[in-house]
Amino acid sequence: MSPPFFKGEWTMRQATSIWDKIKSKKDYLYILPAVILVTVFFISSILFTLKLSFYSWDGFNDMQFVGFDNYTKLFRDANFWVSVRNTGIWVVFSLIISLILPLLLAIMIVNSRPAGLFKNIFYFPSTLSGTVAGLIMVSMLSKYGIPQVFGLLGLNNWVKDWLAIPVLNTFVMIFMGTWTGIGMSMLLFIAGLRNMDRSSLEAAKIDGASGIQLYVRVVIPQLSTTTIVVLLMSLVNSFKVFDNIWVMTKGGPFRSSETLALTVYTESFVRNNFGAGAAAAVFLTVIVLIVAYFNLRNTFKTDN
Amino acid sequence: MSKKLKPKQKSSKACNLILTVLSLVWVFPVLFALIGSMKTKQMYNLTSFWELPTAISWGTNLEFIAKYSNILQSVLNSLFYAFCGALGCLIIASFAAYGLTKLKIKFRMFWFMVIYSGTIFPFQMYLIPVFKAYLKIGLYDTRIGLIIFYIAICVPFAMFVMRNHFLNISNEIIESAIIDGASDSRVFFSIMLPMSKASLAVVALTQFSWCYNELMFGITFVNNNAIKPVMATLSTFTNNTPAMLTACFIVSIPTIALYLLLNKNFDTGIAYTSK
Amino acid sequence: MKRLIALVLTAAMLMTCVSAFADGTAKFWLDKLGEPELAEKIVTAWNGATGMTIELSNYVDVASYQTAVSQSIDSDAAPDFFTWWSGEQLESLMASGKIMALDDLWETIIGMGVAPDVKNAFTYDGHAYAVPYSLLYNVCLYNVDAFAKAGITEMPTTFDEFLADCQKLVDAGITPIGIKNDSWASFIWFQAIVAAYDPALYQGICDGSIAYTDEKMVEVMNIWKDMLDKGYFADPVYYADNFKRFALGEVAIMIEPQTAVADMYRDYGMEAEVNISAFCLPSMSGAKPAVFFEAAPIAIPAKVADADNAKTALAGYFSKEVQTVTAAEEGIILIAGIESDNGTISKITALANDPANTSMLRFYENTPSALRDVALDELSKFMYGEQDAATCLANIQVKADETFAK
Repeated sequence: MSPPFFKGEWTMRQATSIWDKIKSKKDYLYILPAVILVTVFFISSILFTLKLSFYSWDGFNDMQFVGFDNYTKLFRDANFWVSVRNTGIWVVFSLIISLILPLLLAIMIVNSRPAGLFKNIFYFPSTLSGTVAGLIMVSMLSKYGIPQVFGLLGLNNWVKDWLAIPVLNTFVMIFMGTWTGIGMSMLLFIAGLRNMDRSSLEAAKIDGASGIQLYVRVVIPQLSTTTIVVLLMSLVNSFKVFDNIWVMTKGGPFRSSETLALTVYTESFVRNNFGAGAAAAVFLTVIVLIVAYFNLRNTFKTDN
Repeated sequence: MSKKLKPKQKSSKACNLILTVLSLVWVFPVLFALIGSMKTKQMYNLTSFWELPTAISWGTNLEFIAKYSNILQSVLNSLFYAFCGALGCLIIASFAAYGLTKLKIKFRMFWFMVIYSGTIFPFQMYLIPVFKAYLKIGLYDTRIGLIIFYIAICVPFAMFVMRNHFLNISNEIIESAIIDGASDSRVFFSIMLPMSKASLAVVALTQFSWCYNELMFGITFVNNNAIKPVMATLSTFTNNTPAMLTACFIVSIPTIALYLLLNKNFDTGIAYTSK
Repeated sequence: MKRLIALVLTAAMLMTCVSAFADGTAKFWLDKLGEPELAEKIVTAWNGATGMTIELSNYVDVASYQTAVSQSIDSDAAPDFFTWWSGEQLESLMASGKIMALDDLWETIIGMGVAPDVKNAFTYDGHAYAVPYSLLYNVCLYNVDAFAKAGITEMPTTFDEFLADCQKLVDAGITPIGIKNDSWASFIWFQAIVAAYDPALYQGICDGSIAYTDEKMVEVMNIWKDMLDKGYFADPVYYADNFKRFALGEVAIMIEPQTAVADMYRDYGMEAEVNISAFCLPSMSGAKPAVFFEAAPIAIPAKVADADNAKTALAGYFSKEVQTVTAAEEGIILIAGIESDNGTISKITALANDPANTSMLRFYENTPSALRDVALDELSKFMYGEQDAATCLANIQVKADETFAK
């Protein structure tokens, strides 16, 4: 509503537009705190890292500008491509697992009694700290943990340190990661299922859809917003996967299970090549940004 | 509306069976840890994990922890940090999500990506710049410094979840409220938030747990033992696995309690959404 | 919002505890002490020896530790002294001018009984910039019961005897040598076998005067390969599992420093000289057997608030009181005249000081880090059977050419 004391159409319109402008600016206040926090803490860190990636730095002495050296060295390093490959394996497999398993669990839990108990059991590991979960995983996977049980069953070839076997160790770690990793996705899917629009479901039932068909055609499409959240969350997490690997193998043996996040960490903090670490971090960030952009683009289409 | 998918008897039984089997798999590591936590350090080191201890050593382990650390103080510290972190990020993130979904903001995707970028970067890269800045402005080794950082690092993800939730709340409800004379903030507080209990609960729970369990920033930005978060304190016991496991079961109580407390909210909320 | 920021900043300032330098306290940061019980014993002894209050902060994460030290070192939040890593990491710290020369402190601690030649490891441009936190000697530890079971009664004095003992162990159903799966640990048996072949060869590859592709090196790798093929090495496992199987007698030998002896007693109940003992890997050529040492440095920031206070406090670490504790609990003995009551630790110290043996800096610190990192990966691949000896040596030599050309 424009103030009533203006005379003439021209002034009215101008006043309205100024009023609108102030009002529309006011809307920005809602996002301001978040933008400020993120800019102060994270965008600035990203810019610092971007700068660092063009310098050679050991943490103490002066930084030296080296141009694209860090990047060219990185791209020529065979170990870097092993990391890229491993990151790829993590992304693909943990995505499949962390999308399908929670969804299946959620569907089964909604259809089970006592649903609450099952939900609690599957969520419980998510409340544990990474340090503790890692500790449990390491002792379970060590030679004297689960492999020993296979020994008792007569499978002596299995009595090995599984984490010390290249490539297999990556899959073992992905599998172990689901133990703590799926709790939140499962909760989101359960919430989505519980709050599903009933009318289309009933309609589909009247049309004769049932069982799996019902889920594939009606239920799962309705979970699309939840799926986007879970998908992007798992995607970013698997690109950045660090804690699990650091606790279990530290990227070894001979850097065979290293992922990009580990390369960033070891180059920076273990080998003191902060420039090389920064370059790897920038590379990783650019990839995740692109992936996130394509995932989210659709959700903005309806916006403006 | 409130009644859920009505399970057929047969499929329900099958679900129960599969879930029971999977539950056992899921519970196994916990049992593993529980047995481990009952042993003394030497027993833990020398026996196989399925061998039950002759005596339960929780007492010894707890005594050890209490003797060499101020674990209670650290738990209280972490509860405070996690509470402030979760609450702070919820407020800031919901505001931002509301702005990005329902208000007139240009270049929404740009602003979204700006905020969301906070989760994309490998977290270790924040250590040096933030440490440097904190030292300069006097936030290093302070409670408030750690809290602000926790809020900041939780905001992007919280905003992401809340935004997706708000997208599902129909504009008609909001428009009709505005026609009735409600202001933006009124809409936010009396329509958006009450309709978002489930998402708010999920975000509160996960971000609280995250802050509570966080180790790396906690040991880097704080040095004073009196204000150390719990995981930083526990990390000094790395060489004593049973003590660490015992401690962990105990310090996990708050996050589990919070989960149970918020449990009833998970299933409500979006149900108000008309599509 | 402005008011909120103002409020937050005020609160922040109020809550910041500016590390006011109270007299008689000193902050010590380290990343090496995961035993709170031991930490407390050390601090108690240290406080008693100096009459000061030592505040010890142990960091468990290498990134946190690096960040905290490197970013605070110029400020008043910095510790009074801190441990660091020797080799190139210490050199770059010394070159940066951010730690102070400790020549005067060295005079004091030499007076307290520290061996003067340790100083060389921390000297840069004629000044010593650090004092030792630890001095570790890597020798062969063996499980006495496992040796007895295999009928081995005397320690090997030649390499052939050592191989024969390995064979006896294999015949008795015991895997002779246990190794851990840490990627960095691949140099341990490499350096031992190279030095057993010829100590001069070891020094040569470390300083770049002998190529990794030298025919002697090829021969060394063949000896190692032969040992691997004969089943003398157990598969690499998680380090705690390696300790466990050593304690259980599933493997009989491992190369570890004397701190492992303390661990084996404390965590696995192995009594010194009853269940566990030590020997030097004998030489193949009749040269002196090698003991590999490593020394972790402690440094003082150049801008420390009160240098005298820090030095006085740090000198206390070399007091009889503290050294008695570290000797008994960890086997770390930095001053003369202290004996560990652990017989095996005493034996290791004696082996290291015996003129019949030669003491050499271990490969990890003795090789430029860029080359070392490549060598560790290559040796690891060799040990896991993913790569043959020739390729391994050739790959390392490519990096060595590049490194030593500079």
